[in-house]
Amino acid sequence: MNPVLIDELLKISLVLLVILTTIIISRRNLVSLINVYSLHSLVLSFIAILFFLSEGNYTFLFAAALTIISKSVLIPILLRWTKWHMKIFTDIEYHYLKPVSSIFVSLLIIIFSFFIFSKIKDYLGLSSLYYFGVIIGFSLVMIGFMIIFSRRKIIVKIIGYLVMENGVVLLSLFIGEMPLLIEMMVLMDLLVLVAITCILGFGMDSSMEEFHKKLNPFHNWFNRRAKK
Amino acid sequence: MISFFLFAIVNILVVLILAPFYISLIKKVKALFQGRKGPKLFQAYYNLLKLFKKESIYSTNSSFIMRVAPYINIICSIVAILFVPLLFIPDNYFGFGNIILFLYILALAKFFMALAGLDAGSTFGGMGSSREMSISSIIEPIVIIIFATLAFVYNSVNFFEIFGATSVGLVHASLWLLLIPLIIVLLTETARIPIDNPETHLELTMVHEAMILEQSGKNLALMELSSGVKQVLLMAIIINLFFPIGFNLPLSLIGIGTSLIAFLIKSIILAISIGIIESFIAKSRLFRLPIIFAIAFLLSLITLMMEMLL
Amino acid sequence: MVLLITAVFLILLLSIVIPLIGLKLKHSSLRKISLILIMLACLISIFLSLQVLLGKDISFQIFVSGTAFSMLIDSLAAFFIIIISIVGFCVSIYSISYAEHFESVKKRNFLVSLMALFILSMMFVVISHNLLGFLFFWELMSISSFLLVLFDYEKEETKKAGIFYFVMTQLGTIFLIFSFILIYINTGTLDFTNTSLSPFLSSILFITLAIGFGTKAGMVPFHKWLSYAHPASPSSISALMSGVMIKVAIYGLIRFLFIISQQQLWWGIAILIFGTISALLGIIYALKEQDLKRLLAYSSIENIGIILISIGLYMIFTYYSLPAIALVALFAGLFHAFNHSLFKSLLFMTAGSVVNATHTKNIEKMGGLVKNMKYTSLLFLIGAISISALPPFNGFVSELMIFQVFFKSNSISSPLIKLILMISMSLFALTSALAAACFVKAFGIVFLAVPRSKEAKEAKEADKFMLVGPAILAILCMVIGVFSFQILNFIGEKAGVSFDLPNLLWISIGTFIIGVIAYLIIRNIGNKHSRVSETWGCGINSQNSKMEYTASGFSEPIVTIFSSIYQPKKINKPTFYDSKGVIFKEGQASLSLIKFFEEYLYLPPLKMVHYISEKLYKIQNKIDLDSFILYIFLTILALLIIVGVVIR
Repeated sequence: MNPVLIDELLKISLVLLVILTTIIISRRNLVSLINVYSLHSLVLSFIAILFFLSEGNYTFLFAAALTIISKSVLIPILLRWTKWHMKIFTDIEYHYLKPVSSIFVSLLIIIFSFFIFSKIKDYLGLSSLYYFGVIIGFSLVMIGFMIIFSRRKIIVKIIGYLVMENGVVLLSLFIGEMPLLIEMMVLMDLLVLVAITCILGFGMDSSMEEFHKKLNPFHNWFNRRAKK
Repeated sequence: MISFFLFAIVNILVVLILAPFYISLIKKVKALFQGRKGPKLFQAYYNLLKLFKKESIYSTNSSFIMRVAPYINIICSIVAILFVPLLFIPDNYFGFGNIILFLYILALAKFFMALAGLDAGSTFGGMGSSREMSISSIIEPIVIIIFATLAFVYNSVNFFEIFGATSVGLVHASLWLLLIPLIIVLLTETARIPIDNPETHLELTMVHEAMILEQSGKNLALMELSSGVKQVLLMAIIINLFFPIGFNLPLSLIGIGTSLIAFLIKSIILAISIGIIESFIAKSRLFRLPIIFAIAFLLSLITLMMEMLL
Repeated sequence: MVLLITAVFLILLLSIVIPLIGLKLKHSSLRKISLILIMLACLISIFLSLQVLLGKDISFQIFVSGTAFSMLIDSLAAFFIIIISIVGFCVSIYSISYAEHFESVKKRNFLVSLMALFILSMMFVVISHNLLGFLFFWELMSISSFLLVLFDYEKEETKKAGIFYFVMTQLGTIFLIFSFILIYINTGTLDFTNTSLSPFLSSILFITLAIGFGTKAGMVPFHKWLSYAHPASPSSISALMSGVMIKVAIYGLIRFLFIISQQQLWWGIAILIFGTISALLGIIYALKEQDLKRLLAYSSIENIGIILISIGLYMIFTYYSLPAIALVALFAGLFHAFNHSLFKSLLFMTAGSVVNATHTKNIEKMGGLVKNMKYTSLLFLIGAISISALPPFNGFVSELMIFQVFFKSNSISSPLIKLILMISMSLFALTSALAAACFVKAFGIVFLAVPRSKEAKEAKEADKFMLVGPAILAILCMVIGVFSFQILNFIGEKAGVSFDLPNLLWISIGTFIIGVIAYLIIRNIGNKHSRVSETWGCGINSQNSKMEYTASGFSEPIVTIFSSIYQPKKINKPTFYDSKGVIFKEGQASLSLIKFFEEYLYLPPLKMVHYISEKLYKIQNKIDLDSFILYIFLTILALLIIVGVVIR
């Protein structure tokens, strides 16, 4: 394929990743959040396919397939299932940051990481497009962090975590250490699965605070024991 | 010189004649999606003619602003038509075509429209102009960033030059990303869902409609026509930037005719897709609009960043 | 030439003295003579500076007790003299009627006399080419403006404003004195000559100069005095202060930036950032303001921000040695300074007429003035359109130039700078759009719809002099806008800069032709009948002013959108008859916006000074003799120890 076109497609998909992330930041509806997440992973796998097309290395294709299967299909299904069990549909509460300000903070994060990485750009020895990919990957990790602390419902926190993980995959794609990439992906996905099953196992409700309330009766029970 | 006059006449006539068509086309598409039959495709023309024939009623509270605003609006819109080449690019353009001047001429029209909204002393008008000015001011950074990107890539701030350069296709495929913020700008400036709902007269959702609520007869027709013109112009910007097939053919009768037909087809497709977009999304709350704009801003800024830095 | 300058000086001196001769004279003839003299002086200096702009610089020296004070009128100074003179001329015409509105005769005379002093001092600040002379006239300018702010000294509010202004401006002057000392130590002469300081010292010099001039110009965060001083002072003085005095500070900044050699990159960036912040915050605060003159004052902060943005751009492009673009930026800034002085004085003067007619500054009590004050409202409208940067008026042209400079930032090599410029550009765009919203509010609420109070209903049109003064400025706004292409091309050829501007003259002519044709067509095909009827009030028979949209209602969406900047505090304390909180008894609800700069920036140092002085007060205020003798003893001991340590 035409290398120039591949570069342009890479650029477009990188920007789309950022935009999808900001949509995740600001959406309240859980259904569309999960859909946007699966789209996010789809774009990520598209990037991997682009890598395959430009370098011809089949591990990229394998990674893309793995991403599509696990992140665009399996995990969203699991999340939907969890959501269905929790019987919640929206997450309208924000901690510390309102959606608009978190979008601007993510812009700041991108700019900031741009200048952090400009110091080690020569050391990494990357072309400017790859360098941009590294920046976006790193900022996705940071934005994922931001989603985790600024949203209240557990299920959105998980999506934030998954966004972080996508950022890690993106980073490794652009820095280019494939075995590590596969290892990490499997590891991370496992972790997510564990997290989700944990929630289900606990019968945890929508948010951490609710969960603490549930634990409260036990707390009182212990207190009563102590008084006696 | 002659080609510019030809351009001016063709451009103005085409836009003025086509402007009402898209209004009713979008209405028709939405109606079909809602399972209704919808208005006739030329209903907007009948409406305008009907309004032109009615007498205009002015409020006792109103002043010269109310009487002047419709004319200023239509004149500004017509002048703005000269800034956006629709079918072909003339040899000389006499200082027309500056993007920022184009934006600010439209802003002048909006300024007077907002004043006219306040003029009658009705609560609806004031509400409309307050909201319109707020929305149009927070959309402004996005518009500027979009056009700054184009200015960087094509090293020009003139529509004629930029369209001349894009008529052979975009330089970078990544400029396609600008399509999304441009469509958001289009939806905002033409008062469409999710930013504004042009259909209802409900105070919660009214923005643009509330502002021209006190207009009547001929004046209302002028206001409607000028917002139709604005819609065609913004659509033409999108079409000529991203889908330049058939644009700027060699200057002859056949060339212009072919360009016109190509433009008609492309713009009908665009209008239908606007209708479809509108049918698929709900009206957003007024104070959740900044989120949409923030995302559009981020998108356009990152595109600009890429164009500058990569 | 020097003779003409002397003439200007003497005429202005005469116009200071004349009203003071007949201080208690009720008849207005002396005041009129004095004002006409001011106009004459302004005309002479316009002539003079046009000569300088077309020909060559004038430089001369004044000897005061053996010391030579050099004066220089170069193109920069001449340009600012033109600003001062045009505004001074129009304000003088305006004041012929305006001065007669004051109750006490003494005050009328003092107003004219002080105004002459104010204009004189501003002109000579600009002419001075000597540190001491500059400082002398600078202080004269500060003091005369301080006295003018304190004009309505009976009011508590005015007293506070005057003292606030005085303290701020003197703090600024302290920074200036410090930087002048630095320059003097370095160059060894009081004349303006290029310095050669180490990078560190020149940075300090830059900071002190920026703070000193920034305070006077109203740069955020030193802007707070504007919002107090402008509403308190008479409107003609607000027009002068906002139109001209803050430009003199800009002049000082530019003048001294030329002196410092080895400019560093971060200076330009700092000016750009502070300019952007000033522009944005200025207009955001202006939007929520209900006091008409305070709204205009905040908008001045915005415009100073815009001028600073272009100065910052100039410095950045100069650093990257792109002089062609840098000069465009500098000219854009100067042109905006000129334009702002025109339309802001226009707005302040018309606002003064409105305030005189309605006896209130609160725009919530105005409305409907367009019917009684037709010409004033038209003039205000022209000012509002110009300040909202709408074509074809002059405000648009300078903003267009700044945008074009921004669009050329691709030629800078550093990505960081490019990004900063882009973000600054988008905020600048936001600013100009918000300015339009702000002036829709100002014009719409003040002049349109139904009067909101009895005074507004009975308002009378201003006197003819109070219309002529602003009218000249309004015509200038339009002419300069329409002929901007020709004017700037002419200047550009002289200075060797090319401005890539659209020819607004062609476009205006085109618009006019289209307008005439469109009007004729519409008139012929449309229905010619019209009817006047009442606004639909949702079924209520007659509409009253309480049903209109208010100023605070108008700015509410913006206040909500920018709530993180305004930080509105909502206090809601209801009490109830019952324990469940159902039956409402009474309550308190209030909505206030945070005064960020006062609460977090100005008050903490003030509190610290208070604290320290309280401690010192305790030391000093002991009544017994012994403790004082103890202090003397301790001081001598300390001195002895110091001497013993140092001299060895």
